[in-house]
Amino acid sequence: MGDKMSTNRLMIVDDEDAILFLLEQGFTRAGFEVVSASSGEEALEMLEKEKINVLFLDLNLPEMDGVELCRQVKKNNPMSVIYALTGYASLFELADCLEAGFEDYFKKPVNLSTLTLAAQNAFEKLNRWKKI
Amino acid sequence: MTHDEQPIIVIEDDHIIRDMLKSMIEQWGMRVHFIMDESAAVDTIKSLKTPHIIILDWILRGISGIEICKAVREVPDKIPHYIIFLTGKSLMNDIKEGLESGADDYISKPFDQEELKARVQVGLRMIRLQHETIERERLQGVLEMAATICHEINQPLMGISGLSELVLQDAKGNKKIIENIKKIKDQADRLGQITGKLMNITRYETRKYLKRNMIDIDKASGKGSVTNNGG
Repeated sequence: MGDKMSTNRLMIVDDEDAILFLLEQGFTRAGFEVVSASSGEEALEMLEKEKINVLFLDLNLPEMDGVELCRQVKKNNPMSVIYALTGYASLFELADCLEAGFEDYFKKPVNLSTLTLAAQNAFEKLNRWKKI
Repeated sequence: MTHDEQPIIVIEDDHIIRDMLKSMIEQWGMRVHFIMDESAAVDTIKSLKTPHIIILDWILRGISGIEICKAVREVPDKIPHYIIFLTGKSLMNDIKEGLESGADDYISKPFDQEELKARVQVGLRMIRLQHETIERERLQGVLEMAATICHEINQPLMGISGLSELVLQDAKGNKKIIENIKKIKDQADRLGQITGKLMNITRYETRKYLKRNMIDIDKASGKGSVTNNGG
């Protein structure tokens, strides 16, 4: 694998099967490859084996929450672009998210097209960085 | 009627002082209500549904102001009455006894009109502050409940909204399906706007809905209406 990683492979982390099911389909149809995990621990384990640079994390995960997961992912891979998904939005939470290293923040329910656009922007950004 | 408009309750058996108090209080633009039957004073006060300022003479016929005060305080009120002793006693021990019996303040006879007015104002302020505290706690409870419910609702809502989007992509030209799925998505999005507003509530306003009070989430969240045709 080395440095040559897939240019459209992203990870989604949510503890609700219905949401994973939905996001998998949405992103796959939009042309992305999707890796999914249902907990922070599972996500970190997968990321050890494979570098994935674009992630969508639910904030309200069991055990390790999305903010903590984001911190850990960023620590290991500062170039990663990570988006937060949450059912509960508050300014206080938003500040926490930005501090943890999230790129942006989406409140559920959010349109799939909004998420796929965000993914697209993330990959474009990563491509630009690669050329520097 | 707000607490500022409630009559001031006075229990005083000396008619000269009663007349004096009446003219003073009315001059301040407030109303006064005398309890003439001192033996029924406790029951009368207990029957009041809202907190009042009570001006209570210490020495009455048959029952002492201290006894009345203690009996009133036996009943826990959400917001207690504000009791001011009006007394000829002014020794340190008397003051101590009066306050320990549950009074909030005292004023010695002969008293100055302006001082009494100022002390009544303090009482009104105390009652108002307690009202505000209770209101804030209630609002806090509402907000926490709203946030919890919204969080729970937003999850399945995301599912409905997103899956409608996928079905819409699959519908490929089937007008009937497209039209219906669009409506499902619209409804889901409307629910999303409602949960969004609920989570934005910063103050508490109610409106009448079928004779019942309900929280007006439009006003309370400071945003425009989400209902189309009056809901």
